[in-house]
Amino acid sequence: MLFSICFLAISQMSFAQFKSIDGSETGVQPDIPQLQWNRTSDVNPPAQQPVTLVPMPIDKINLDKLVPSNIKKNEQGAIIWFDENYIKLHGLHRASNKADITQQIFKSSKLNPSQDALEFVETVNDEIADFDVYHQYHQDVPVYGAELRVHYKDEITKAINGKLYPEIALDKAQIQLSKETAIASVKQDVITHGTFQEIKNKALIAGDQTQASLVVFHKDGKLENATWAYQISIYLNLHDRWEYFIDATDGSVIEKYPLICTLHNHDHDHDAKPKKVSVMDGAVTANAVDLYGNTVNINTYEVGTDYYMIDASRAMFNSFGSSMPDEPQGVIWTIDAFNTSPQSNNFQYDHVSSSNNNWSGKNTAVSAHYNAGITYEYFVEKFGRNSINGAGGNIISLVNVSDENGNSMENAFWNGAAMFYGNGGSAFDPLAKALDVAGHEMTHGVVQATANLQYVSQSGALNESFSDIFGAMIDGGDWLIGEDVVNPSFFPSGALRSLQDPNQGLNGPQDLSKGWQPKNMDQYLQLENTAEEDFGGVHINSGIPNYSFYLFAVEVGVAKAEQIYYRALTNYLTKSSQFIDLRLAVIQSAKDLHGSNSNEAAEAAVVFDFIKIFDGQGTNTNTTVNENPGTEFVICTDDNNSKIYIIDALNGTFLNDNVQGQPISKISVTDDGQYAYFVDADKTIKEITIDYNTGSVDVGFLSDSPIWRNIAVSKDGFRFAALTDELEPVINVFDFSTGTQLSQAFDLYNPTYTQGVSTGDVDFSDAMEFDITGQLLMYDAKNTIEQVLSEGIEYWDIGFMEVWNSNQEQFAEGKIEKLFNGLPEGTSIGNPTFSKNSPNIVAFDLLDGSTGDYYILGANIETGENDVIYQNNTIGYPSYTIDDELVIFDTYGGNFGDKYLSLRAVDDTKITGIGDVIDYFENGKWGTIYGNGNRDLTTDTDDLASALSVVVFPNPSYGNVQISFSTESNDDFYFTVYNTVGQKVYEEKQTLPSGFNLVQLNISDLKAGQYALKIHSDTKSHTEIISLMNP
Amino acid sequence: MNKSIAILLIPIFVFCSCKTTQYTPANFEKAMISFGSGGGFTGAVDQYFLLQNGQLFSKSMGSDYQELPSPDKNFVSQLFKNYEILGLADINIEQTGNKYQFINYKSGQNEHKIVWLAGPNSSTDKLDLFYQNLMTLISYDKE
Repeated sequence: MLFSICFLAISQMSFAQFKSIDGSETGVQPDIPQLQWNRTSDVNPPAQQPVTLVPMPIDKINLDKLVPSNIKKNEQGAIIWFDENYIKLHGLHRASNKADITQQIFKSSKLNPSQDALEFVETVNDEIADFDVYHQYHQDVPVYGAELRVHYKDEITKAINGKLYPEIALDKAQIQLSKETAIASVKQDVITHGTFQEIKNKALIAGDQTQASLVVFHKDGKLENATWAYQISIYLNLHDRWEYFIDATDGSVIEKYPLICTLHNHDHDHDAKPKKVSVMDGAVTANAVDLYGNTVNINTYEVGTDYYMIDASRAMFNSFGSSMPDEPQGVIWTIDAFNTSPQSNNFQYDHVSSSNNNWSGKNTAVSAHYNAGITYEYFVEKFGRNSINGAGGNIISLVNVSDENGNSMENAFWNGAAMFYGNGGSAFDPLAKALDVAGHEMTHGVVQATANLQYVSQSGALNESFSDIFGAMIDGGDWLIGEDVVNPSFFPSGALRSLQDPNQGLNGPQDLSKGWQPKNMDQYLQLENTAEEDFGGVHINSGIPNYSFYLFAVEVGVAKAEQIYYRALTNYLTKSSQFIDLRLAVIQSAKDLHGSNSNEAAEAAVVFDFIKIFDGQGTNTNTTVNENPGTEFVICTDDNNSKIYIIDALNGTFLNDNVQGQPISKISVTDDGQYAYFVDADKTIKEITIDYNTGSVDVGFLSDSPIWRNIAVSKDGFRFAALTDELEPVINVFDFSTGTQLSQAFDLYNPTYTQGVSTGDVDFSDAMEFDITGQLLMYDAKNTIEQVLSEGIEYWDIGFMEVWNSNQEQFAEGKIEKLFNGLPEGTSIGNPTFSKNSPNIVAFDLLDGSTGDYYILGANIETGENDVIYQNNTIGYPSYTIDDELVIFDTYGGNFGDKYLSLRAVDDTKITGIGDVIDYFENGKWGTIYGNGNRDLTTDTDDLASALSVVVFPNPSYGNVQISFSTESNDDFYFTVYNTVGQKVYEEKQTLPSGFNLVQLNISDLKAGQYALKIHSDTKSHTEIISLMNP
Repeated sequence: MNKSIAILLIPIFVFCSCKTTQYTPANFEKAMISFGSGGGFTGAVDQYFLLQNGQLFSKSMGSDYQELPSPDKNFVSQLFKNYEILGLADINIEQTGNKYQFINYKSGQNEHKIVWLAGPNSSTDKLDLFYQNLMTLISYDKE
């Protein structure tokens, strides 16, 4: 029957438009005109680069470390931030006198003490937060969304954030509408969204079906839109709830939107709805029989007359944030998938529930629930880890999951958000039975939240290995994996894997399907990074690090070994770590915990030697390129987009303050600054050729077709990404590196990482920037998630697309990864920019839609770390300086909140803002910083300075420069001197022997001034700035 | 009555064809679709190969190809057409993760891979439809 249905569906689609399989008919949009390439001189030739790997998405946006700037208002005028300096300045020191605090806030925030009030609501004080919450009132009516948080550290006021609305000029006499009238109008309107059903049992909705209160409401958050409004929440029926804001002066609907429920995908049960915790509800326990037939004590949750398999008894439970049972926070939660598959369209799931707290017949769910609790406690007790994500996040298990064919699934997996357990079959018992399976799967979540080891080859094998290691530790008692769920006729050793003996007495790779794994690097299997070959053997070569743990634990004891390995995972390993990095991380962690000369550190080295992961250089995860040796410039427009300015960044003088053009998007510049590109107001693409000696520019067309919206040029100047004004999900890429113009249209799509989270469809892209290789394009894009009952949810996010393959000198396949693995609801990010010298570092704008707050964030796409560079008050369009020590961005600054291009320093991580904000160029907008020198953009050269102690002396000099350094082997070295506009003015090659070398350069013929001296071989490079005082 | 007969006959019709020249996926040069799933706790990879001439193989890691009963050539032909009709060649999804499915279309030097992770919303309707069609070959084989 299935076959018949499918065949019919296919037949009906046979008239669909056909595209050839080899892609020959895909690609270039026929109506996209070619560019007009007519350069008279070349920029840097494109460097040979390794094929770029698009980064793995980062899991979590870190807004915990807000960086104070000063008292700040957003674009709408609401006060959103008071910084530490402000607190000191105004004497807001301690929480002991709340009246003092509110008084001081009133003084500087233009709140009216006779009309407005700040009322203390509560103190939130737990392990990660300590703050008091205040709400703003106007004439004793709450101001919607006006909440202030005063943060403390050790009882000292640390920061104040939130939102206040000053200058409210409303009087209650303006209110013309009664609450009852407002509710009546809402009831009339809400039925247009579905069938209204009177709900008599209030327990089902934890309160009245309609709730209304008077508030002061600012539409779009703007001060001038302040009005009296009724905030009305109404249950249309048991399934749908709506929120309305009705203008209390004229009865109009200011805003309305649905409040969506989250669970209940299961068709058969829609009775239970989210409910606030009532006095009678709460955590209870029950004795239940698991899959071993043992009676275990489990934690469940009572809501009304029903019981749910939700464990809200752990320390992580957030009762304030929870709406039970459907929207709990900080719980262990077991869900029934009703023998459906998440890979099928009819996937169904719902609570595991009981009317009497009796769980007989639900042994699978009991086992999964019980095992998840033990696993949670293991990580808390051993490492102080608060749940999978380390922040008290839910631990979710789905049981009775079938495979993609609808058969019983002989497997279990982690999908990025939850654990899925199949019920086994011939080779396995139900997977939920075994504690090591639960430990294994949950540890995948821990790895994801920490090192985020990429699931390919050695890093993927480490990912699997940590899951096995902690799975075995949680289970305890043996070194086996899966021994309680495998059928020995399929797995002769009686286990799926063994840490103690990865070979399991089997014959070798031919017995992979029986449980053989390699145990040392001699047995390591070189496998392709394909799905067919286990992504490079992630479940196979994991035997090697598994064995390392066993050997180490035998030598130093399990208790020490698990602490050291956990520290290695959480402190030292990163996304692309390899086996050698595990060695280094374990040894370093042993030193951290037990001392540099400890037996533990020595034993770790012995163990890794034994399995033939020998000492060596760790994977360089912090690649950098040389800084541009030229002069630093800013190219930007003004707030009216009336013209273009080129500014000498250090001197603060204009190279040219009247470049003709009215850019409609940010200007893109080649890495050597010779050419800049922008889309003009007439939608043509303009090319600016810059003469740095005279400051003159030549502005010509790159495309005179009036169809464009944005343009980005690669660092080497040979490749362009361009967007048309069609607002379509396509990026057009043009390449000139092969001597002829090639073009390709790349479709934008949203890859999905966390299942159950819809990322919607891509509408169109806007900002774009190439990486240093010119192979990877970073872009932002607007997306829409369609909603059934309302307008779609729109948001912006950032992606990376492989557009060019330098090795093959052709376009890449357009593979896309996203910067973040799912954004918080209401959050948008955009305008991404790479740091100038660290390909792993990016900065971008973030808008928190729930608060209206703007941030400029930095992120390390290798480690997943991200932090606040600046809490802004508008969209910033950030750009790094050529030394990556500062970021320039748009902001409202100065004394009067005027538009500025401003600067803020970042620390060594390049993702954390430090120090004060410098207002740099009043009325400037969309600043792009660049240097006008030439540099080597390859990242695989080691820096000489740190490795070989390069000393250049004297400096300044009269042209006789000496360079001392040591080399490890005979090598050819080039000594190249560039002037400040990046021109090569001197070069000398010397073949140097190993050992200490003293090289003398005579560059006395050069004019006095600053130069960049580059010393480089095939594998090493170092650049030094030198000054000549030649007469 | 007629409908019942039709449903009954389809599986028989599908698997009754004769074999001709024998190849393996290793030496077959025309179009071939490999598909399957892998990962998870077990790490097992179940891979199948459908050759354009109608031969069907299975393979697990470390083992040799095992030939399965060949489906009807008309059905195979339809499947290969479906790959084009459904626009699978335009689907650019190559995800890596704990549990996954894959389809790999190979024709001469051209190869197009689709890998997607287990879970709701991780694939498209077209991809699901095509994968389910492929898996019917295996389901029938199991029966």
